[in-house]
Amino acid sequence: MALLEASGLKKSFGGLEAVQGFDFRLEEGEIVSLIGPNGSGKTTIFNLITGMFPASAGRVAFAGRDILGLKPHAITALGVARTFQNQRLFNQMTVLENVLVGHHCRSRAGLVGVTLGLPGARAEKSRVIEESKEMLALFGERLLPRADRLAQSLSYANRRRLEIARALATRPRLLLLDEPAAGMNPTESRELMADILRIRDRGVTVLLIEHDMTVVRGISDRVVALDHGVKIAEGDFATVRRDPHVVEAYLGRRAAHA
Amino acid sequence: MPYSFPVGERWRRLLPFGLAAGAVVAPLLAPNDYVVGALARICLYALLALGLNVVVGFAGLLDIGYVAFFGIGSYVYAFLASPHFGLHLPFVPAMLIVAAVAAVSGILIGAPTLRLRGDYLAIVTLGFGEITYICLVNLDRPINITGGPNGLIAIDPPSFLGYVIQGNIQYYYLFLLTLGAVLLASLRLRDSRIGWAWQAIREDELAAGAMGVNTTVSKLQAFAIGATFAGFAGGLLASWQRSVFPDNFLFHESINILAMVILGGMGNVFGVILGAAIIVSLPEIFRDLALYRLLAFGGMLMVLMIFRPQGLLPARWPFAAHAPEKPEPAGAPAPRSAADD
Repeated sequence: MALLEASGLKKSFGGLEAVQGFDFRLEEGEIVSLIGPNGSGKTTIFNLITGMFPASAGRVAFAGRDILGLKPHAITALGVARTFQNQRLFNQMTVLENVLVGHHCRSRAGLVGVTLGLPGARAEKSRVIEESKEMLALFGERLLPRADRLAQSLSYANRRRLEIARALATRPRLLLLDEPAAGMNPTESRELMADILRIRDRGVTVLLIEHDMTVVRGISDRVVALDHGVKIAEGDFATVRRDPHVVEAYLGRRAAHA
Repeated sequence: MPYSFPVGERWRRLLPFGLAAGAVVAPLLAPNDYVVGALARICLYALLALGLNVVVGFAGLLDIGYVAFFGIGSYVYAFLASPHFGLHLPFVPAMLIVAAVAAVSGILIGAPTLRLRGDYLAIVTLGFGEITYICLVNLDRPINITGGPNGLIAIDPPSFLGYVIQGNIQYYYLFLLTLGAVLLASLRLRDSRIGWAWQAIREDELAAGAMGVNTTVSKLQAFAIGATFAGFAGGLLASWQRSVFPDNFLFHESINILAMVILGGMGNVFGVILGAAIIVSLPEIFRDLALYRLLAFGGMLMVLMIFRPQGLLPARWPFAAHAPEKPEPAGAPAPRSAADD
């Protein structure tokens, strides 16, 4: 059984067909990249999978369960986490607290337990703080020493890393990364690739949207290319790169036939 | 600790004890009973400010009809402990019922506003505050429930196992004790999964949902807790005044409480208590100015807000540890501020 399976997925915004019948399977343990020019519907697909907005038609199953129509928090609880292309950290919270928020759906303490300081709630709190520090430690010395700083004060690359740490705190089986390497320099991108491979080795399946082809080539088991909301090619990086539809989508018709 | 304080670690540990000791001896040093009464009022408003701080400061939900819960708390206590319905419940069970009713009313007003934010939420909560006031004024007919404009009188004072609280000093200590409990609850909530979820909603509701926070449940919890704190304050007010009137719960009280939260520093529990102390005591301090009293009060608030727009004690100290990081070497792009996103 595929971990994620989308069939006939459609989304239109008024007259604009952002996604026009997307079929896709993702197996457990894969790293798959979603590529395509701007406006080809990649982020829209992420938003549909994570329940950010409703699909116009189609079906998405995660681990055999239909998830279309579920609220975002319910989908996260099932094991799908994401990062955002335009960074949506909780700026006025500390680095550690950002990750603690990710633990929300994996902890239980209620109003009574918290206000009365019951032992169960206290134990759970120290547990999630420990686990959050482990998440930060995944990025070596990048985040952990900055745990008590406001997320807002982090450098650009560290903000991207914190988004990933926060998503991992929800204990996902599937992690959706929306342009994780955007704005990173080559050194940082290389580090990111190693980070993503390490995350996969922890048993997390990764679907990423990425424009940096070095990253896409470096880590993808499979590449899916989109244009105007339609899947135009799928396969390993070399195949997809040579596909005339892909070349056309990026460079225009003449380049494709040259 | 994520909440840094601009003084040495040692002083930071001692400060709460110092403040608590000061609060305990304050009424003993007060020159007269009038001042003791004012101190008691500060405690009462600090309770309200802590409650509104949960809603506005932690969860970022702008509620400008908050006084409604104060009113509901007062009237429910009056119903349970006065000759009006002939019920004379003991203080503790009465207050527990007051808290429960306030929490439920918080959820009831919260539920229809879940999709609203900012200005729109403010308008709906304003409407709720006015509806509550109008109900209090008019629900004396056809059946007399609230006593209408005449209010309810001869409310029982608090008593514990036969010991009846009386005199401003005793009320002050009762209020201070409640304030201490509510302060502790606020701190625990702030640094819990519930508080983190509230703050996440305040920062970015969509991202909070994507991180697994059930925003519906979380917001209703904020409304319920905020209303419960106000309910406590209301019950205490009714038992202290021994009477309640609709005019105790006018719109300007909501604004006063909001001013305490903003002036003190949204999200900072100690700040909002300080805000309550200032907003309650300034008009008293300016009493000698007679007619110009409120003018001086308003002017003072304007000056404070111009020089400290983030409040007297902001939720996060703009401390060295929070200064923007240096960009990483090897030509990393400059760190962007939140405004760029």
